[in-house]
Amino acid sequence: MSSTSLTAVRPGRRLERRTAAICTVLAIALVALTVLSCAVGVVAVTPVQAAQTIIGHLLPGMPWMSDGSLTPLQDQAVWHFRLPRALLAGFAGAGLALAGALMQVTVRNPLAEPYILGVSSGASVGAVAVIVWGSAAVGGLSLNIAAFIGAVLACACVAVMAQKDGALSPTRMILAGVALGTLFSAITSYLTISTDAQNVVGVLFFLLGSVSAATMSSLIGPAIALACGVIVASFLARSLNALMTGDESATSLGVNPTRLRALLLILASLLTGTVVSVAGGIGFVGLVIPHIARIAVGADHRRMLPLTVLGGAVFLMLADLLARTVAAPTEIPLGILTAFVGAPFFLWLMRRNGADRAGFGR
Amino acid sequence: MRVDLEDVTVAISGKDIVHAASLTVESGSVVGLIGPNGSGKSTLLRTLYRAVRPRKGTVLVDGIDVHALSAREAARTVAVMLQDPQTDFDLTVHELVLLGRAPHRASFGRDSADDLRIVDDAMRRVGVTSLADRMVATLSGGQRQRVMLARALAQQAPVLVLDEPSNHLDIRHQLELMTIVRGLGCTVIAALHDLNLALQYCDRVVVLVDGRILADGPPDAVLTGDVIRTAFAVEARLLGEREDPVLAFRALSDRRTLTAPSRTRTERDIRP
Repeated sequence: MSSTSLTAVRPGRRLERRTAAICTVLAIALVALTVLSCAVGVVAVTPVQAAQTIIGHLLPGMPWMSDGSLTPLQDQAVWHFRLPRALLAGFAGAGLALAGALMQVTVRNPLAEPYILGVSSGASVGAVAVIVWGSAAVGGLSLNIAAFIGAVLACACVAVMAQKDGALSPTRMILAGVALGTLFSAITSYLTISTDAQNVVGVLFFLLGSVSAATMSSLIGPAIALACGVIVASFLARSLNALMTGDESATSLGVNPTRLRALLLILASLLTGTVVSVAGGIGFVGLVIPHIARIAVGADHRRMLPLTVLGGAVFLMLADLLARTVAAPTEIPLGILTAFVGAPFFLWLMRRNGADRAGFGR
Repeated sequence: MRVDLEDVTVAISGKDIVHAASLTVESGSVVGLIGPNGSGKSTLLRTLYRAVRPRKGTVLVDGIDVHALSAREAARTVAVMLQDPQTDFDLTVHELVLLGRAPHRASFGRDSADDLRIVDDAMRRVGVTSLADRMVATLSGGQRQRVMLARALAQQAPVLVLDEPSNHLDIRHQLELMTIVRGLGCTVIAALHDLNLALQYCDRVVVLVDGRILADGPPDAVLTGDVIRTAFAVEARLLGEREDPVLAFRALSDRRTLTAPSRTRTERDIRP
């Protein structure tokens, strides 16, 4: 056996430092991207003016708000269009990535993503019903509310179907999610195919996901869900590590797998539901960002969760910036862009040696 | 801490696997649970670390029903060395052993210096210190078993449950494991396949057959030819010196009268 050393071995310290470094970089990128997003568009605004506008709205008494250096048009463009949009992209990215990470450990499957439990297909049914039949036909619900209700109902259905003898088994959760997801997709497809042609574009736009309709009030849902998600998840980090090693192992470490799973399910569906209801089915973020975080700093949730949240936000804000600019003045739906940018990047990362450490070699 | 299983009956999907098993493990003693495959050894042990709730009967540790404790309290009382960690998302050896400290700490925050010292100690004891940075999935079966023992040790519970701990281990590590476990001073219940390990290291041996306790007592009194024949359907003889006995096994000799395999039936057999 090895020689006695006075200091405890601490292999995790290097990864902890790396986590702190990456998180700092991501946080700076987040601020920079926010300002940059506010400076890009048809109305000419410099990055400095964009920053001034944001600060001016947050802090009272800033001189540049009243000395005429910003036109009302610029102020409007930044505060009412670009900032909500950038923030929604950030919240959506962070929320979906976090939901993905939670779902992956909940069902202990690397292929899990926020939509695996049929949340997005449920939301689609609600949203498409409003688009096709009109708001009045579904009790005067707005598209966002209808989508959120659809998401929550889908998730509840999956939970009911997956529950047996007081236990939520991961396999039943996945299969129930896939089966119900297919069912809901069929309903969406039927509604889409049987409606007027003019509605189809709206449906497709929702299904592919977009943050272009963001307003300050549409941020409330995703922001609250994200705040709850981040706080609860950070309190659960060690238990998540335990759950990762199997149900029996988790039990022997003092974690009740079924109770934890139920909590994670609620958290993930809340995160996903609030995002999907305002931004549609943005794909890829929830599946891939958690994996990238694991490749970077390992599977310990105390390290990978902060990275996942910040990384998701940065990734989607960047994707939205590109979605607005590459084919300007036409806008590319966000879902298309995330896959276009994300898939090659992820494939490259996956083939590197570091990925084998994260269990990709098996 | 003393462990009492009283009239424990366990059912899995409606079928009783263990029938009214009662046994007492004195504080600080090592008890071996032996029996053929499917005799209910693991199932009985699983009631101790709460992976399954008995249909009837109670599982007492120090007089307290473990199923009445909170999950974390129970995990601080009973540690288990499980067969194999199943991880789709891989942890390093150090991270896996650190999980043994989870029942002692809140679910968030950094690891305390105390935790790291305990983990370090557990890893050194089992001889996996040099593996600390390795991913668990890249280890051999035997190395993984030892890491799981280190995790159980890091849990620092007064009761230690071992489910076939010597699986995958080479002979040196089998003996080393049993020596470590003996030296802990905690109450140990181990499901063992190797009857010689049971003979050598246990204070008492309990034989389980078809979910019922067949025999219970000191190893040399229980591990006799008669009991082993009844339980495992093999012939056993005691070899070696009195103070260092060894069991040798042979298949039952009257097994030659096996039935001949039945001929395949085809439609050609039909005779009008």
